[in-house]
Amino acid sequence: MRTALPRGGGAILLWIAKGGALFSAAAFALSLVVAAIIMLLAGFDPLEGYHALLIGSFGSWDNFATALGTATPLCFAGLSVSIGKRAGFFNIGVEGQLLSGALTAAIAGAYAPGLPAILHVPLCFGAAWIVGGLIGVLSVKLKQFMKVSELIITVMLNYVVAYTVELLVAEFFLNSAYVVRTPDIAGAARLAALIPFSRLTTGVFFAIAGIALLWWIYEKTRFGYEITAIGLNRRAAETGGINVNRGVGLAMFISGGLAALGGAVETMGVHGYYVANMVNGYGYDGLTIAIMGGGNPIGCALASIIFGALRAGSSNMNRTTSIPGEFISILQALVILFVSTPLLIRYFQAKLKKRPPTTPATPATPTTPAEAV
Amino acid sequence: MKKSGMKKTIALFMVLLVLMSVLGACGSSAGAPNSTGQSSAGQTGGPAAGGSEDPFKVAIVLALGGLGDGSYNDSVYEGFVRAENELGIPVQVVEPSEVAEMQGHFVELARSGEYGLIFGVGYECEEYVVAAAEQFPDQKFVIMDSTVSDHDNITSVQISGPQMCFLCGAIAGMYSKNNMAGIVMGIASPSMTNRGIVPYTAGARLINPDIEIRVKYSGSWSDSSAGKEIALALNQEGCDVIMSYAGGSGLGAFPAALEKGFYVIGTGGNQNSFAPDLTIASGLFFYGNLAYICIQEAMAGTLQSGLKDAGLAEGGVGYTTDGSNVPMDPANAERLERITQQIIDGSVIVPESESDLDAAIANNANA
Amino acid sequence: MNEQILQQVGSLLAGTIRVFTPITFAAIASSFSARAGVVNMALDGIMLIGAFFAVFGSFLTGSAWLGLALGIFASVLIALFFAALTITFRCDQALAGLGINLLAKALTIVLLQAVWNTKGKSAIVNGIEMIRLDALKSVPLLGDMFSETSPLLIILLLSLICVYILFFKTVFGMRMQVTGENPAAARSLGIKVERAQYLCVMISGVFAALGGAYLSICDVNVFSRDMVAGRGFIGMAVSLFGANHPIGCLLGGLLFGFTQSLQYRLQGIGIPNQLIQMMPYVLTLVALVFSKRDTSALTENQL
Repeated sequence: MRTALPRGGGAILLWIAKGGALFSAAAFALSLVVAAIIMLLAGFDPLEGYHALLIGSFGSWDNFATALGTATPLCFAGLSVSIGKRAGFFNIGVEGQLLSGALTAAIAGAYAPGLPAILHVPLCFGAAWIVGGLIGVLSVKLKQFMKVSELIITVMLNYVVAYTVELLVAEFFLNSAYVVRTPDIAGAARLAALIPFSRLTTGVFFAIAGIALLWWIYEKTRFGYEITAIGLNRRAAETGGINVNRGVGLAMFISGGLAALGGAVETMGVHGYYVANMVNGYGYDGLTIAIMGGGNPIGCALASIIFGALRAGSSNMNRTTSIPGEFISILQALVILFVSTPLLIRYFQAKLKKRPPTTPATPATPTTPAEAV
Repeated sequence: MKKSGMKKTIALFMVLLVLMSVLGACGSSAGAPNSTGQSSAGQTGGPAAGGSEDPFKVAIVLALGGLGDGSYNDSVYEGFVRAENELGIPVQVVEPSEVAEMQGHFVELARSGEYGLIFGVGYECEEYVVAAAEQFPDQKFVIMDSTVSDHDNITSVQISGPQMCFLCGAIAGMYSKNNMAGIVMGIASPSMTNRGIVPYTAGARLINPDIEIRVKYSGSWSDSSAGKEIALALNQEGCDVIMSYAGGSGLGAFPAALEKGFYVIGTGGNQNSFAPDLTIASGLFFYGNLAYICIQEAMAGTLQSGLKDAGLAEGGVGYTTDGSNVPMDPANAERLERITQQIIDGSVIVPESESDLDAAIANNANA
Repeated sequence: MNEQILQQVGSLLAGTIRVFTPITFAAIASSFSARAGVVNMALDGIMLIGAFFAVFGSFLTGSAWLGLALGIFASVLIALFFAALTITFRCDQALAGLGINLLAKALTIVLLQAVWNTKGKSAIVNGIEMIRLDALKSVPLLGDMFSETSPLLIILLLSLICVYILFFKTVFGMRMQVTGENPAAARSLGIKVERAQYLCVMISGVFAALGGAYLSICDVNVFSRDMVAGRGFIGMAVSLFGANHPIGCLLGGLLFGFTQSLQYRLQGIGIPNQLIQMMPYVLTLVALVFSKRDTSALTENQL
């Protein structure tokens, strides 16, 4: 069930004023409490953990920079999934597209020496985008051709892409006898660090550009309108004269490209080369971020900052306490589950007041549309 | 639905900001440990600089995979537990969840100035330790399994996994009647080939020049069922001794052995009890001991920078037959002792790259 | 020479059965849930919980079957949690699935530490004994595959039959499918949609538990962290390959089991390993091209 998009800050403020934020806050508090109980049962001090978590994400400019830097590739992943979803395509392949972008940027960065930064950076980005975008388009074409859900296609393709990347690195681009990595990319292809050692690089500006790009596409272009229509109701869009195949194809080209950029930004900004395990798990976080963000680019950005903050905070907690990082993963899972569950708090609230919850009378349809193409 | 999803995220974000101030105030008055986010006022890293009243503390940044890897991390961790118990030294254990985190860990730990010694595990962390070491020259670092030798504040302990694999290969050579021995591996990498397969092959060929080595990859470090399939496949091809060198995946080799009756060699810890009648021995890392020695030396101020060997001679690696019911011929046991001595004195060469393999085999045949 | 080839093929087929069993359980779990209209992406997590508690139960009681029961119980609880989140509280299904996967991964590590004081693996426990059919031992290929049969394989085959009958020959099955395809129509027929969906998700949890428990107490008799290694998603893919039909799940599972088993045996023949390792996934995609099912009606509502 999709509704029209929010019309900007005014509506948001109004919603907050009406107490909508309280539900989120209550849900967040619930997840904090449940995670704290689990920590207590295991013999750890949750206050100590949460304190370290907060300091680690917002307690200093360095730490905040780490949180933002961690959020950057996650934001790209979230934006990628979000535009796919907009067009009705659930892009689980984001994990593979991220990886492909990371390697492509590493190769373009290392094997085109002598270019000035003004050419080299766009070259790396462009190459990464094209590779990721093509994988995205391939997923769509396969779906159109085979008439099956994209879930199976993207899951399979993830493995294929991962093994291909592993193969390419092992056979052609290996730079070390010990670590699985490619050669250093040229200095001109590096993204400058904004705060040293913090993972925050100029890549964050490109993430912001990505957010702006998606906002512009959704709000201001006909293409955005078309893919929204396709996502809402494929048949209706088709009868309305929209070229569905082309729309979804282009949306997935952008989707794959954005994911690949996320990988490229990690290569060019944080590491300076491709190394095994560098973007592990970012894709699945991207799926979560896109859904939590409600399909809205700003929402994606905020959700990715939350995830980045949790990761940075968890890192600090690891460093300053004896609490294992798994508890923050549990907290993260509970946050994902509770905060995005619309009726959770309302349900308890209604139970307390002893009246039935005022739920809309819509049946529980699957909320991730992915009609056969 | 979607729009309320985004709004919830906005609200969550704001709530986080508000909570920050609240919990921040609460937490610090509740006596939470120092945050390492801020640069410590006036203190640079280093044991002496920290003031003589401060207890000697160490920190370790483990390799990816964390505790429970049944390999380097667990082995090093034992040494730290010992240091905590016997020397009363507080230990801060850090388990990074991704590569990109590592740099931040080393820098922040060094910046805090609280730790007399900071450890890193694995060659993957070398460049991050070097970066932190250059930024904080008064902070001492130890890298387990590394070859960095040109920094005054870095000690590299050269762990010798290859020597352990060589011995395991020799054991395989002794017990294989089919002239074929195998290895169950996790994910392919040049390090796995050069420091695992190559020395294992050399060790096996030392005993049995005709032996053939087969290797298969389970594709993951944690998929025990895949490891079992690999072991069965290796056995089907003719391997009658199989080394398990794949962490969690390697666990699958033992039930496979129980099904088919082939021999197994464990690694990374005493795995002989997993299949006592079929596990000949387990290769061991004693990195904990070496870490312990480093800590002791650092406390006494005698820790040298540069390379520190940690092979058979220093008791860094070895093997054990404790818990195994597989009978070992005294002649074989004695041969293994002799080979150990020959490795230590250099007459037997343990190759660590594919290009050195043939030369080493030729050399060892005459040893 | 012929005997050697027969042996190789026999070993290949035996491996196929072993790989196919947990994946097909996951596929049944996915299709059960999907037919009722709930996309269950939490399978990985539910399988992991089932695997852990099966080992834990066997550890506590010494009996693998009691362990299996505990594993099923724990998985059904998690499935119930998932159902509550998605059906009653209207959480996005994919999101709830991903969240539960994350929760299960972290929780099992915490529990591993609590029970066995290590984050890597549990103690070795009593596993489910294989059924010995010695009469088959001398039969060339069947002997390799079935002379030692896991009871869970028998349960799997029975389940496939039961699910087939349930889906297509019972009123419950028909109602369930209407619920999935068109909930509004179902409601107008008087079907209690939410209750049906809850039931289906919980049954889905049972099958997921069986798949996870197979990995832990049948295959290797130990729990090691992350041991499910994505099989939940593969199971979901197989069920989509099979159009959420039990026979399709069976065939898809066999195809994947066969190609995966083949991949393990082909490694080391000179082609780069990664090409061999990606074979099962490529072949599944290729097989999709050649399978002539029109699933457009199914996937429209159910993915």
